[in-house]
Amino acid sequence: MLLINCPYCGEREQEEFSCGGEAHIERPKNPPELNDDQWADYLFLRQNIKGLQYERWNHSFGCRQWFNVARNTATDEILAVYKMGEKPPELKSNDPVTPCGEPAIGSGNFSTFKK
Amino acid sequence: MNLKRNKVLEVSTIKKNGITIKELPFVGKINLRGNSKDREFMSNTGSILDIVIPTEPNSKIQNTDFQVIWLSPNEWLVSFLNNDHFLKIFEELNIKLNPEKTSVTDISENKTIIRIEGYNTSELLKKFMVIDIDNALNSNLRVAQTIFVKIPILIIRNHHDKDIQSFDIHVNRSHTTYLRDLLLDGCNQFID
Repeated sequence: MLLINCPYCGEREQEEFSCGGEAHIERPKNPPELNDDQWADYLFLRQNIKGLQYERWNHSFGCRQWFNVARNTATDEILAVYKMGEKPPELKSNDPVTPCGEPAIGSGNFSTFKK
Repeated sequence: MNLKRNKVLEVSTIKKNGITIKELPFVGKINLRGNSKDREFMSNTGSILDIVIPTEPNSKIQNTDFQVIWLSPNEWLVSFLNNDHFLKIFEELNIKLNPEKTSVTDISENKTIIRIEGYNTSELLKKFMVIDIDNALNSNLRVAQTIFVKIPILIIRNHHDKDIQSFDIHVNRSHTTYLRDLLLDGCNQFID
């Protein structure tokens, strides 16, 4: 089980939290100007990184506040926790080396690369 | 129209193996929301409640009539120890606070309070909770919102005596019998 350091309540078990997916996705400023592909990109396409990923988490069984977490999705190591509105810290994660030379994108799915 | 208020548990006090489980029904509770950085909000609540509402996470401030419990950076629970002052304070908060920036809600019927007391109370709670009780509730001024098995609770340390531990658990009415039954089962370990 992960221990997550809520910026308000302190260290609590993962069971009390819910993950809200990738962080820092900006809503397009003028949605009517987008075509369907661009809107679908905004709504559905995520990077699905294997390695350091910035995520939104909610302390749903505690203070019910949203905050950001920098987590290595391969090792589950939490590298930083910061409040909403704060700039993401520049971090380097220790990505595990795979003997088969697996790509940085999760599950080897090349279709998730942005064109 | 006067609505009939009911307790959740038919038997409100149960004693088993040195641990007392008791329901405290009909406790007046107000949910208060506002911006703790808003000076007007803080000074108005301070003058109505006669105490400064806590801004430190997971803490409470108490006087003889009520306790004000921190729920989140912009939310507090006023739980009355003496219901005589409930209506007066509820009305004052509604009148004096700016309705566009704050909210004052009577949530007395939303949750009930289960008080558990006894020598082994914290050991009993540890069977069901993932939170580190000894650390999170290390003084009578500490509270914690967490989960008890799968249900959301607010737990308040309330030791009246040095040796006898006491905790108040705010729990949804519909989860109360579930919580009581689990606690009673857990008591089997302790011999009276």
